[in-house]
Amino acid sequence: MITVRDLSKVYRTEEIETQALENVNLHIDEGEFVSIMGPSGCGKSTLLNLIGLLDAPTTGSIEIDGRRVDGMKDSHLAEFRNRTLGFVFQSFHLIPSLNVLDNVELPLFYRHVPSKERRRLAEEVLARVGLSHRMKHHPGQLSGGQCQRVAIARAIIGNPKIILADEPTGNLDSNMGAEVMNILHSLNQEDHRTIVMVTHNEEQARQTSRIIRFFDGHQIN
Amino acid sequence: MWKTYLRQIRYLLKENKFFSLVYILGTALSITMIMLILITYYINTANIGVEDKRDRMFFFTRAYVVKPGTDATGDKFYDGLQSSSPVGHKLIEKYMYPLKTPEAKSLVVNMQSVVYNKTKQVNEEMSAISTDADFWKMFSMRFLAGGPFSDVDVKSNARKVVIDESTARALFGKTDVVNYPIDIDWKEYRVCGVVEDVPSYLSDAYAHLWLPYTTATSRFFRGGNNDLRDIQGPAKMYLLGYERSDQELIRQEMEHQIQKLNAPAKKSHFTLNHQPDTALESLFRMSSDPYDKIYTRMQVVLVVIIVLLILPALNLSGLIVARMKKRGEEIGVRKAFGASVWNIMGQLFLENFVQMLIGGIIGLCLSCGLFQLVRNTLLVSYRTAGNDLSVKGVDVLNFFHIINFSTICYVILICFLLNLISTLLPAWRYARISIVEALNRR
Repeated sequence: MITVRDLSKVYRTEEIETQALENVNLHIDEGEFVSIMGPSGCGKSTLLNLIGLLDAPTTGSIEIDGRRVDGMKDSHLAEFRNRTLGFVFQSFHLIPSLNVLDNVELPLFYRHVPSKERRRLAEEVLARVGLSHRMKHHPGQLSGGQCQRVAIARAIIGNPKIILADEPTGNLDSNMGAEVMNILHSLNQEDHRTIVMVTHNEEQARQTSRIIRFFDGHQIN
Repeated sequence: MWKTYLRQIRYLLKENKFFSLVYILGTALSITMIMLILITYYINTANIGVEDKRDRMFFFTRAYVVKPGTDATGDKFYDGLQSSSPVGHKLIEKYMYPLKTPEAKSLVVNMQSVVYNKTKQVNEEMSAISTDADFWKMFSMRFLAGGPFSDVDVKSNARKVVIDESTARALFGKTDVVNYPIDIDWKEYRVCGVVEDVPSYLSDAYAHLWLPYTTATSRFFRGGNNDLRDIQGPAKMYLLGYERSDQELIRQEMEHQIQKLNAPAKKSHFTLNHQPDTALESLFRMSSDPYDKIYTRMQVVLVVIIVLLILPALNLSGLIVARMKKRGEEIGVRKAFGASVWNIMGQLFLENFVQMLIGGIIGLCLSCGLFQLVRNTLLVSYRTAGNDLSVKGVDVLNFFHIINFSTICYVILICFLLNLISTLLPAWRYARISIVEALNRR
């Protein structure tokens, strides 16, 4: 499902050059739930951003769902992200000026799905994450756990094959974190979605099918 | 899609009240300024009211006396200019009445006349126009009683007068007063017609009394040598073309006539200085400038309008940048979930356009209010300044006669242009920002 070859990422400023990732090679099969672990600054999130096509690698190639994605034009990348990938971020990244329904509908918005169909699908996924009663609320009116469940609903509404989660429980207490992990496991086991999750939590990582560890920009296992 | 955008715009308006207020008011004020300029332009140049042939009316208002061989352009014009003043009626009679190109040619002298009000037993000063029979072909006056004086009346110095409705009511208490006697400048005239009041902003036609100029030539006397006395005087001339494009043909014929006037031996020559003018050109003609200054003045006004448009746009652009900085995260999220650069730009354009449109509508209302407030000042053009105003004339000017469908379209166009100028750069810059960078902007 995801193949990464000789992937490197260097951040350059006028004064310094930082090697965030160096010669990373990995393959993730369809339906896997993979955890990426390592200390802060080791390049975990950078890898997730590159796989998620949110950033461009300095060298190397990425193949997702059988397609080479490096070198794609901006409009093609946008469409590919929209149809293939779903994101769950540590800090939720919900749009505060949109209500829950509008936030969840966002990926379908750019797919030009008719509004009634968008509404139906949004209600469906919000029911699945247990937030049917909060549809008209704005993110500022929700708890952290509820926000993350909205973010998961937004990630899955477009039925993407891959979900990329960057420390999805990092801002939540243990109970809410467990709830979010349960939802992610159900998405993996029931829907057979491929999930790549960056985490610091060893216990949560052990519940996934594979752990990939990083240190100083290198993959160490 | 639109509903979602509009819901978000409503939320943003409520959330950032101060920003929204500044943004909308800024737009409203610049729209107001532009609307007032448009209104002034419209009042002075469009075919409105009785002046419904302005698009093919031309104006010969100044007689320029220069040294022989003086070019009517550039700074050298001032070296050769000896004097400039309104036109002498004899010049018009002798050299301009024979013109064949115009459909109508009218000599006009604006003056103040003293009318004896028998009811109140007082003398009252009133705006009057001394003119000829062709004057009535220039304007679409509506006669309530009687009719205009004729060419024969003018040639025979007949003391006939056309008065407006207000004057008829003030002097006689009614409008059906044809053949009634009226004392004007201590001479007895007979009313030959009564017309509906002419609003004072229609300054070419506006007066309370219109009388044959031949009955008032004693008031046209001007000192100076004989040559100048014929050329310069108190008059001006309106020329009505068959077509808007007749201006150049009329000018050529007038130039031809002028050659007869300018004998080679004379020390002073007369120049048209590129007259006759259109209604717009006549607004920008000052007393003693070469004609190319008219276009310089028009350009200055155009630049002022553009600055009025661009300055607020630049300020608004700054406000948009400030808001974009706060919304970097949102742009990142939208791009992560599939928005292209064009989707983001389109959204930003729409958001700002809606706010500008609100500003535009407020601007229209403000200009309406301001228009009512400064109406009298605004409507007294320099051509009628100092004359008494017809109160009724001012009152009949309705803002909504000017604000028609095309004006609304102009406002929308101006909003669109303001939006384009103010949003283009920030929208382009922020729509192309890297997603990771945008997501990290909190």
